Amino acid sequence: MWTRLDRLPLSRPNLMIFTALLAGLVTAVILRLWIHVAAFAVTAALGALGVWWARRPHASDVNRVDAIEYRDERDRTIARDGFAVLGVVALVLAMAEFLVAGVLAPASLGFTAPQLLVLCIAWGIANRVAARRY
Amino acid sequence: MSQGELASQLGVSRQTINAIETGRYDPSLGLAARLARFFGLTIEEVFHVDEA
Repeated sequence: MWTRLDRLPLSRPNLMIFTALLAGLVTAVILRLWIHVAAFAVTAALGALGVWWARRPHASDVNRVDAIEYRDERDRTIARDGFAVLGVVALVLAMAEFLVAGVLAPASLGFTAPQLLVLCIAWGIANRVAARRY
Repeated sequence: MSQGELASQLGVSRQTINAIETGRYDPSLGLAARLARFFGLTIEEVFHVDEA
């Protein structure tokens, strides 16, 4: 089923990212944090450039996957494999961070432990969703 | 017919057609069926399944 969102000039994940950037930009303007305004504006501009580049008819598959602008099932398969590797790296790094923090900076465990816990919960949920789908 | 034209007809990217042709990507059953239907053939006639 096609919706209005499908006809937007950017994907749904990018729509969420740009909405968050816009919210940050507006908040920074209200708080008069001009460095933050510039950071949000530059990030949004570079992101928009990336989306435009990835949506060109002759853009490469890597460009589209990097920009989260998938055109077909192969793009989504590539992205899924990429995010799977990213997940493993994130889990390993979070575990290492947790162990190092436990030894060198126990005070920071309040941040690293919940981070690792959330990653493990997300992993468990992802496994269950995938098992139900296949 | 070029890879780009076929990709456009099937609603996929040119890279996907190239990857299928060179055996680097196995399409989903849905895409395989669309591809076969496009050429007026069966899936078995378009794709060779290696039994080994």
